[in-house]
Amino acid sequence: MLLCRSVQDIKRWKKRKGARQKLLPLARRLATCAYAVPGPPVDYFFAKRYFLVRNPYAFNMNFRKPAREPGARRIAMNLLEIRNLSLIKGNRPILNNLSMDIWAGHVHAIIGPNGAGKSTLANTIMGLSGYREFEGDILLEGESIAPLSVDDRSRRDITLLFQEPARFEGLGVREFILAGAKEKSRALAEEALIKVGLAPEKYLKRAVDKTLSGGERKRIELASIWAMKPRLVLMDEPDSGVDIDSVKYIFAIIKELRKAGSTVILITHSPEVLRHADHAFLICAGTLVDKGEMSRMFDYFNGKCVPCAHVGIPAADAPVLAERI
Amino acid sequence: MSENTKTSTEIAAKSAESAASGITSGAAAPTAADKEALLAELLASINQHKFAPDVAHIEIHGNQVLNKNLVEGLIVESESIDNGVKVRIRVLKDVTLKNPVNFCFGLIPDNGVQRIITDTVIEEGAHAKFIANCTFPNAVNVQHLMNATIEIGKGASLSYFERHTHGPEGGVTIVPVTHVRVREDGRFSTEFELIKGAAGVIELDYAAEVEANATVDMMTRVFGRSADRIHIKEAAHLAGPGSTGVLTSHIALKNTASATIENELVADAPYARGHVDCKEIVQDGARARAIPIVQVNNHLAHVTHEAAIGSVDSKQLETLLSRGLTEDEATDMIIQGLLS
Repeated sequence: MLLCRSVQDIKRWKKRKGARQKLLPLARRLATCAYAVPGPPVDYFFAKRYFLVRNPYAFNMNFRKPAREPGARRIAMNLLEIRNLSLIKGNRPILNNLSMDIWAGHVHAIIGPNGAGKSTLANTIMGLSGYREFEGDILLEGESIAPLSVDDRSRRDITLLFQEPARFEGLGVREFILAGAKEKSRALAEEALIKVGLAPEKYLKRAVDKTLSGGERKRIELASIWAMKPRLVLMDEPDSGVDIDSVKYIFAIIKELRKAGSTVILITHSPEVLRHADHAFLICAGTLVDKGEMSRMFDYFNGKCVPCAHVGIPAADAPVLAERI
Repeated sequence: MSENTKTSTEIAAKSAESAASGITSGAAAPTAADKEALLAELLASINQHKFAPDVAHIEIHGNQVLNKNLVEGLIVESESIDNGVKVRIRVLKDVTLKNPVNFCFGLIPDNGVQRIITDTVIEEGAHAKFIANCTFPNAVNVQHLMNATIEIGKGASLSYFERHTHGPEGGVTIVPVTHVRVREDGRFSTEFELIKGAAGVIELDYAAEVEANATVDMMTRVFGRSADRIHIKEAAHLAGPGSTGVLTSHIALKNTASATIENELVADAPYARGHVDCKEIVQDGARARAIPIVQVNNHLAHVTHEAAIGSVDSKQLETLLSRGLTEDEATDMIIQGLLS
């Protein structure tokens, strides 16, 4: 398996790491003062002080200082913190000492090859059955959510768009869309369907069952998430099974969620989806390999590749994991 | 209001007593006003109060026909018998009934027997929809026995929907036995629904004989609670070439309810196609058994079956949990969907 980033590039970045480390605390402190307002994808101070240091070629980017809107809430830097997360399933390590900071109000992407543990990470954050036994911790606004059930987590405004949406025999599209919504009105269900490019008059009375295609169910599930308006959305391959013409609706929803102050984690293989992220994590065999702004991480899709020992565990960590097993 | 209700309930009880003792006319027969009150209560129990003049409907309480409104092309003859009513229904040749024909069978008192014997003929090229509401809102010890024969003529169709409304006590024994013959190019679909109230004891037995290019579609949806006992038997014989049949049973059970579902589909003719689908959701200490029988006696016929029994599907449950519903809310939603 090859990960698209040149070895030389990585070495170059490592040299700069020292300089970045010195500025990082300052940048973070400044970025913490940013307000959740609609505007550019990165916070103004953070971008200016931190991003430019990391990417000197971004000088020509036009950063606009966001005006503070009346009543705009002050947001914490990290909405979600993943600390040393390791998960073993069926004697096979899936996640290996993974640590990530998910910034509030940002769109993060998690990229990596098949079987890297991306979906497992999403399922673990959501707390699905079979993903509750792990080492490490998951903190939501500094508070551990590890002991919480799925519904308790979703009541803390976390939700998941499943890679393969479930089929519900007989359950109406309207009921499904409004299941998690605070307002249970027909108008909201109609608006949600329009947002995902489905005609309400055609779909509202149908059931979320096998009469709908996988792509249609995916868009209806996305509509239900839009209606729910959560703080943190995990989207597991939001574009899979969706036709090319309809992908634009998914991107529009991502934009709208961000605009509304939601934090989005995209799990994807698609460069098109990555384009809509501010920041990305690259994982391989359950290990965090790299992270950075979307523009830099995009190189992994541009044919600059490094080998990834994708045989279940990275070679370097194999002895450590072997000991643990 | 409560006085009126009490009065009509008393009338109903008297009426049921007379029905049980075989008295069908005489001094105990209710007056027109009594019938009116009884009819109002019967319809209120199924949330139906008024029909448009062009909608055919017939209301039967115990062994009495309380009210009847027919439309052109539809003939309904009724006759009171011991504990029940004999009804002959005919939809004339090439007639298409614009609106569904509404039947209401019921007993207001908490005990009694209602026997319904129906003989239905949908003549060649005729098309009709029947909606039957069977209501026993106060039942503690009620028997509802139905014997039906249905003949669907060549190129004709009948859609029959039967909904049961029971009280919370579960004191109803329902024994519907139906034999259907669907002639060439005919269509017959039936739905039996018992979702509200306790099911009690159900012994449902439907059998259909399907001729060339004819179709039969049977669906049963039942929610069993507490100590309900449910036995569903659906059978279709695909006797004619190109005939099709689908037998579907969706059952949800909780508490200590139990259910046995027997679906039998036999294909004898070439190009006959059939499918048996049985889904049962089981909660608490409930028990479920599914016996799908599929038999093919012609190498050009094709019949399939699927049966799933168990708890609520975990993926469905987790999807709804991730929207903030509690486990109970999510389970109810899934069950309501399955039974809808």
